[in-house]
Amino acid sequence: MAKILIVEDDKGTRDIYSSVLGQAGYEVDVAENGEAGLAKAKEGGYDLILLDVMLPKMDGIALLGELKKTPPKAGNKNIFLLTNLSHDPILKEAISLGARDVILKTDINPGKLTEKVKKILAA
Amino acid sequence: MYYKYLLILVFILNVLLGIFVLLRDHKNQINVSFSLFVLSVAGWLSINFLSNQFTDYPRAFIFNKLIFLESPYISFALIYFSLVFPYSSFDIKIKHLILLIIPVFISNIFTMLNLTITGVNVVPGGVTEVTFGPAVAIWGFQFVAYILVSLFLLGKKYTITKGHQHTQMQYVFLGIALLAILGTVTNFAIPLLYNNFDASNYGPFLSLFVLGFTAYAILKHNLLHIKVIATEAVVVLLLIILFTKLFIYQSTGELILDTIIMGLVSIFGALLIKSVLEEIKQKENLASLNIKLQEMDDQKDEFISMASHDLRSPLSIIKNNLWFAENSKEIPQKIKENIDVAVSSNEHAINLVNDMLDVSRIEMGRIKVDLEKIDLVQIAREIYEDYLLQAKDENINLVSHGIEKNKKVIVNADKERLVQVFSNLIGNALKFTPKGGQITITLKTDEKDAEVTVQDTGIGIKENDIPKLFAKFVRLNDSHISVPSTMGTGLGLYISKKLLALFGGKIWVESKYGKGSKFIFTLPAIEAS
Repeated sequence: MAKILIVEDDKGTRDIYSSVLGQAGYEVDVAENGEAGLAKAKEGGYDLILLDVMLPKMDGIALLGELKKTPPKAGNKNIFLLTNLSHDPILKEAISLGARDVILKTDINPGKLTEKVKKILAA
Repeated sequence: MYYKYLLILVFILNVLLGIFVLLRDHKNQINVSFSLFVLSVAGWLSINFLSNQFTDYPRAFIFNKLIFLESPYISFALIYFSLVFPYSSFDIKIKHLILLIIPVFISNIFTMLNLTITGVNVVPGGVTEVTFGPAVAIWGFQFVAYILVSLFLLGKKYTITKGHQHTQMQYVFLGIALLAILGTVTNFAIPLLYNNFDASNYGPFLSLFVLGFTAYAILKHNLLHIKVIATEAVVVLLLIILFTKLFIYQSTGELILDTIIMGLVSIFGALLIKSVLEEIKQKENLASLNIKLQEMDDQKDEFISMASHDLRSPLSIIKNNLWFAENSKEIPQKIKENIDVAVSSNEHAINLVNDMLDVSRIEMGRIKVDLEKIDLVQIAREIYEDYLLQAKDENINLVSHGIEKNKKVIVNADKERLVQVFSNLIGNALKFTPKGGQITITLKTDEKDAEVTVQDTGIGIKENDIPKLFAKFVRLNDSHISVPSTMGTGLGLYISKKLLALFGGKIWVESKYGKGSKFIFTLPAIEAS
């Protein structure tokens, strides 16, 4: 069973994403801020990390930077930004730090997110 | 004979460069140190020249001694210059300069005591040879150490500086490095190691490297404001020539004429210098204004990005929750309709945020597109298939031509943005075509271009509305707006037009009111089959 980590500070959004992905049959972990997210991501072994950018304690970009500095032994297969931010300089930096791509939250609903995740993990 | 004149010319050029750089801004340490350097090189040139003119022992000895007394000052001026150019890392005060000059004085004392050179051997018709004393080690150490430190400092700053300063550094560094290294070899290393003094004849010409590279930097990169300095130099030279001419007049008429000419040259010279100064000032103002504007643009872009982020956050939460509500079981029909209205309003708000962001970036020239070679047929087919269901729901017949699987048209464009253009056109067509109508997507190619047509059997656009169609926030009085429940942002066609322009394409419309519209866009086709 594929393992997914959702790093998202908004409780409602976090609950909805984790419940739909859980129902779709994935093992879902959640973290509510950047530091907690980094701790989990450092353990490694996730097939997919969905990472918000604007997070309390440590933002998504700093998290990616830390993860790049000390990569976990069991690597994380895919990291996608799941954010409402579309500021090119920040997104470019995220990609250079190891994120594969950016998903805009307003572009997807929970149903579409599940489809997207299935596609990513099937590839 | 030519050698002598060439040497005098090089000497004059060095002196002129030194004087004018100093006069330009005698309080600026860069100007002071550069001028000190060029003048000390000129001093060395003249002593070097004179030392070869005297064949009697006492004078030949004194002038050769002078060379060893004077040359340490070149290294001192160079180290001073390399500390302040193009900026100083710390505040250089007089005490630092005193500290730096002490080793020069020590070297001078040993030379005065005849310990650096002990004597000369005048070679008739050749270069005077020098016998070195033990203190030549002190002289050499001070000289070479200062030059190496200077080159190190300049080299370090060269790697750090960027843009305009970097280019300046490049020329100054090259000129000085060539003079310092080659000069040390021809006039010190070879004579000392091989007791061969012939090469020292060519040493003075090495200062042409500094002159040449500085001159190039002047013409190309306006270094040290030397454009003004050069103008001044030409004017002053002209005045000196005219002034000398006043003393050799042959008639009163000639004297009056020469005086008038000199007066005119002074006036026009002053005007010329003033205009060059103004030109430089304007250029500097423009450059700093440009930097300021760039910074303001950066801030604006960041602000808009953050604002759109904050607007999207609640919209995405609404979207997620509506999806849940929509997908719950046992919802009464009436509530379902309410949810549908909420979903479409929310989508409208999301589109508005996206379009506003696009427009502001287009207007700032900051829209980012990733151009790549993509298959237009494939994109058109995918979009066509995406919209089939929606068209069927609305009882509209969506048909296509020329996007069959065996076809291929490669264009250079951003895939996501091209999808945006297609969605905009098909979305509009669906919006303005009544039930039972038809929308036709056609893709054709000729030798140069791919042409995509989205034709509908909708309400059409009035002739006088057509020119307004691709403007921002378009609201048409008689055509589109009369269709109920149209919730466009009024920005879609404007964005599409700008995006297509970025891919080298065009878009236009052909329409008859009441009979439907035909939107056509073209893109340069790289390859078609």
